[in-house]
Amino acid sequence: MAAESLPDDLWRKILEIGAKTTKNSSGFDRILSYRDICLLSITCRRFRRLSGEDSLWSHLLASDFVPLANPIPAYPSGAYKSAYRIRFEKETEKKRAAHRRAVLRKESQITQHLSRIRNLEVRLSQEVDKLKNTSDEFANLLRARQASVALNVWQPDVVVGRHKQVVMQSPVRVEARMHVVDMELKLCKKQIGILRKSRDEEKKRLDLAKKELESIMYHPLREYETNNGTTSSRKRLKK
Amino acid sequence: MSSKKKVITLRSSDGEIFEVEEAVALEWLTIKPLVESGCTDAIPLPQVTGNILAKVIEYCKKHIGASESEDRKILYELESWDADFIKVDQGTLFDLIRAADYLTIKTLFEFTCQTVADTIKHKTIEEVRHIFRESNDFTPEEEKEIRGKSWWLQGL
Repeated sequence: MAAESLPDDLWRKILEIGAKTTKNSSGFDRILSYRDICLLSITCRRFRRLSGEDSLWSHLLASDFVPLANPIPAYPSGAYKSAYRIRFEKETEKKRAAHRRAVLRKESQITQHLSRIRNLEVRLSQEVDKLKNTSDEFANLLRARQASVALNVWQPDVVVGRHKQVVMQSPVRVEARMHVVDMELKLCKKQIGILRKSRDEEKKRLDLAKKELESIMYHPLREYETNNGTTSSRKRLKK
Repeated sequence: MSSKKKVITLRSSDGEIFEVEEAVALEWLTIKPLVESGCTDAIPLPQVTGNILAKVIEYCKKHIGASESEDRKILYELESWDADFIKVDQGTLFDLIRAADYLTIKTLFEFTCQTVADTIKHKTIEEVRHIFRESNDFTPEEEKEIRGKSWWLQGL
């Protein structure tokens, strides 16, 4: 099943609906921009014909250049795409700046994501260290408690002496301290879980931003030139 | 007026029989006059196969009444339901567009068209060709000319 399985009429509707501004849960949005439609016109004859039609370009003219109050002037038929082009050239400087801004915005977004990920990783490793220390302390306390229990049982003097030493070393009451440390351990584990989760989420956001940047930067003509100009022989090999 | 919901019977191109509530069928402008005239026979739909008709009915049942809702939660749920509903192969998607056009179901038609438009968005020329299995049928000279004419895009 390929594109030709849909008649022209329906493709026309698809492009028109795609180029129309619609309302959705995240506000007003338009799916296809002049850029997507121009790209379409370079893909094949059929799409070239369908993507050059007046009705489509009058939509784009109205939403991209003419303020809503002024109606679009009536152009002779077949002239809407070029009318768009003329307007477009006037605004090229503005568009260029807007594009540069969009690229910069995405790039700074990516650096932000990266620094947030670094930050989260630092905190994560701190938390892991803390977990290790706390569990060491917990093990020590466990030993101290065993020692204090052992004191109550008869044992050779040497052993009792050593146990006493262990008990004396712990300044607070072993039971209370153990409770605190146990809580700390749990907290630590929870914290690590949270940090890992937010790091993974941040990574996902980073990947998304990178993809978006790539699509902003994609340029059909530039790509064609580099493919075709310097590496024409390589291109032939690919085919 | 009887309070019992009236049921409309539909027959797909492959002879499958479906029953839908009258309220659902009234949204399909192509058969609306037939429904309103109180037709009790199965309405034949020779351009829609059973499996596509089943999907169309599923969508319309879910959307009836819900699309106009102002409740953000309901709308959000509906949107995610839609997203799952439309995870179909391209052939089915095109069949749905044709069916929605044939039956004149505005919501489904717009939604399916938007889905196709979404697949074109932000794609490269080669990707679009691949997705719609269109081959580059320009001669090298033509392509050069077309690309040359698109110099106004180069400003970006």
